[in-house]
Amino acid sequence: MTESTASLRLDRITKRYGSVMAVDNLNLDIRQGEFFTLLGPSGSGKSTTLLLIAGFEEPTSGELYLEGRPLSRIPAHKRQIGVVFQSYALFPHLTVFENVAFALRNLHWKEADIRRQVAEMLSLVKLEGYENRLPNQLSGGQQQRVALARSLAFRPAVLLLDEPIGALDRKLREHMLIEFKRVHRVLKTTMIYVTHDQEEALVMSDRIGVMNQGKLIRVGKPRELYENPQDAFVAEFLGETNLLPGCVHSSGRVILDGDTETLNVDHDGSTGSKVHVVVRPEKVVVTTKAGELDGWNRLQGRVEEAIYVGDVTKYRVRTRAGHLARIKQFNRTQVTTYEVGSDVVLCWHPSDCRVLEVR
Amino acid sequence: MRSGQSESVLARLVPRTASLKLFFALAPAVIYLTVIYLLPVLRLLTISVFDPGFTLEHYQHLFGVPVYRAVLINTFQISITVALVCLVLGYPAAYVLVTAPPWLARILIVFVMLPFLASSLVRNYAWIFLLGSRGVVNATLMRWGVISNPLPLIFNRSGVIIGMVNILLPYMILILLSVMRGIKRDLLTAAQSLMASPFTAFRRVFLPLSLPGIGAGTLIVFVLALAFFITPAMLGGVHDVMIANIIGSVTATLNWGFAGALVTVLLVSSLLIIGLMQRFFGGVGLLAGDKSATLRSVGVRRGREGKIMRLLDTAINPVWPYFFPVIGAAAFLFLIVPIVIMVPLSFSSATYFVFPPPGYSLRWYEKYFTAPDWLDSTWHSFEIGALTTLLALSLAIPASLAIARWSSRAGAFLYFSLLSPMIMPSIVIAVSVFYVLNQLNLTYTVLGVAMGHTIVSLPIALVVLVAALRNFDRNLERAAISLGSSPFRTTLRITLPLLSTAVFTAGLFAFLNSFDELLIALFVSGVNAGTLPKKMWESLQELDPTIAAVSTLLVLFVIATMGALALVQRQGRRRNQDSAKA
Repeated sequence: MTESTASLRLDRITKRYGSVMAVDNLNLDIRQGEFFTLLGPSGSGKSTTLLLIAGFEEPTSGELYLEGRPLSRIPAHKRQIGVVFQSYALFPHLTVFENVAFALRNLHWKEADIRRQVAEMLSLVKLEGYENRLPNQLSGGQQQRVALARSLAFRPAVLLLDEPIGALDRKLREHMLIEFKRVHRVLKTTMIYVTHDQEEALVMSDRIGVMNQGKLIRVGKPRELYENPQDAFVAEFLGETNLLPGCVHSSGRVILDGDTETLNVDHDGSTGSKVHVVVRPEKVVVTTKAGELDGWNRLQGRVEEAIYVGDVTKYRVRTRAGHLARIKQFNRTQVTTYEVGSDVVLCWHPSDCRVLEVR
Repeated sequence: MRSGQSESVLARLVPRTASLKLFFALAPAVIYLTVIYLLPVLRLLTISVFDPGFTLEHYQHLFGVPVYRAVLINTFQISITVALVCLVLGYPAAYVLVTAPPWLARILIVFVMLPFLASSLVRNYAWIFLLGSRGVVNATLMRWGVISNPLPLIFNRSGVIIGMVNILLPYMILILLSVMRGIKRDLLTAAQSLMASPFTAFRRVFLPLSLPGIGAGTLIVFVLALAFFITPAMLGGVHDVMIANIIGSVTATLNWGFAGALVTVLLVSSLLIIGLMQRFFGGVGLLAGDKSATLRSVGVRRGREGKIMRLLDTAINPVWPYFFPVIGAAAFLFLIVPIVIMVPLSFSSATYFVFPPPGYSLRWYEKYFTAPDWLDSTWHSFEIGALTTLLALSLAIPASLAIARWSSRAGAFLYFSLLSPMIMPSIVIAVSVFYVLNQLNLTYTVLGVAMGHTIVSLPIALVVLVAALRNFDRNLERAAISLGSSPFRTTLRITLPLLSTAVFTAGLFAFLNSFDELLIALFVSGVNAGTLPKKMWESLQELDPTIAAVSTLLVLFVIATMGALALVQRQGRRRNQDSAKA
């Protein structure tokens, strides 16, 4: 990673509050123009990291570099880093125009330039004509868009978004995600998005950084992380998954605890070492005609729950060896749905599963 | 009157006949205030123009005679000055309070609440000791050789202003504080992320949003200042006589018509200003906690940031972190000094006021505890206080239950009418009460004074109780009703016990208010029922350190009650949390 493509660098960033380690030795390079998501549960340190980047908190140790310049000397209000807050934080006493123009006035832009830039920003977020409204006259989605326009008006090098759509209803959330992507495509600003919602992360990001308990666990492209998590926490946090405990039997074969037959799984462990077999619910087929799928891994079991969710049916199946497996199946007309209590066989292709060592 | 919400089964459990019961619950309080307070005030207002036939002679007298005209002008001048000084000192103090870390805020709020609850008599005496020609300030300055003659700091305009600011500053701070608390912190953070330096963020975001508080605080302090009696009498000179002082002396001559005219002028000015406040700031709702009232007044215009603003920012940015804390600290010190200064003086061995005391002795405490007139007046004050608390609570408790249930506009109007004695000038109440009690032959009795004190203590108790009831979970009562308990029984066995903290607080405030009250006591108590504040007021001429001893004891009493209150409230909170967890 050369300096010229790194827009923002976090170098051994640590933040301690008393005895609590909020951010633990974070190292991260974010590329110019990238849409990067910090994903993690509450308390994982992702929001704290955002505060550190924005300058609202000082790191206990470590350094931040923006386009090569260290940020520690620069106070928050001089960093030229935009922030979109979860609560929008629109100034209630100023019109939409004045909200968007706020930073430009602080930078003492000329009046004509301000007018032009505000108009451009409002048309970017499709709020032309709303200049004279007050924030309390806007809907949640509209307030969100004003907050976005406001933080981009002064052309920051980096834009931070702190769980911005948490307060919106589902349909609006999906709509806003598309809006964020579009704005990102048009302006090509480096954006750092913080969320606990893995679906948002998968939809929006060029790369995702998964955090837990202050540590950055893994960084990668969405598809990489989803298909090949390489870590139990990432596997479970990003989408649903099955973690079936077992141990290595021989080369290319693994046997699950309590089971008699081996499974065809790629691994590089030694015989007898404990592992988890990771397979995503949507990769598993539920069937009674097991004979048809040659070479696929098979587990016999009984359906404990069958939940109809409109587009999919979710099954919980207790295998013969006693493991609980989760399966997701699209409700296509050709596919049979099985009732609770039926005996079924779970099948999946060997390349659709991975092995994680148990540490 | 049904609200727009759909009627649930639970809502139907409360019978409609409750509205008649509401009426009866409110009746005692309403009748009491009407007879003892509203009617006499109206009578006074009427007499000012009908004495007995229609006449404007009293008003002509008031506006025509130069002495009285001067008093009117002085009153307004002093009140405006006091309001502005309170603003300049109070805004930084409130800002410090709202931005301080919690542990510091808890300490600083005591600096505000202690003066708020301590009597104005105590503080005014302190100023006499501090600012007199042989007082602490002058004695120290002369000893250090800074001046050779004492500075005239008291018994003139500056003395009155210092005294009044000291008393009214807590009001300004508490009002500003309540508005500032409503300003969300993330707005300032957002402003900084948009390239605003800390001072710019304050100037462009915080200050405009605190404007309703500035308006409300200034107007309220101004209205309260207009009616001041005690401080101008104790600390002022010939040119500092205010309207209330004239009312006092005029009443002594039983010139009710002229007194009525003075009262009318005072009332009308106060009401006009409150009306202004309502119009421009939606202020009255603000004080009742209605947050939507805040934004109406804040102007929204194109915020050009011209050269002047740039210069201002550059000039103030470097000192901004210190600017408000320094002024705020000065304000807090100013508030606490008169309370604290009495303590060393009370232990002085000298027979007059000198600082530092030449020696220490307990003789003044001895004098207090052995003087029959001091002890009698103290006893009267306790008697009257207890009676007042009893009366106020028995009127306020049913009234508050009715008001909390009655959410219509008529109910709100009634609520504010019951609260009106709080904003009525004390002197007006004192004069009206004296008038009525005279008719009832209850002047110069403990009962009479207690009845007068109830007029002001009732609204205070009402505010505390209604606020607690508004936070009360109605579902607890509905649960009891669904289990077969009648509304009356429910009130007795469920509502009141859970409100015991609020009842205690209300009673405590009612008691303290009566204990410290001077004006009604001055007019009504006479020799037989003389209260402690009256005795202190009459000792103005003697000026011996016994007053310091009494003041110290009073301050300790207030601290003890504040401590008791904090304890009871903590217990109450714990109890509510437990019931929520269960």
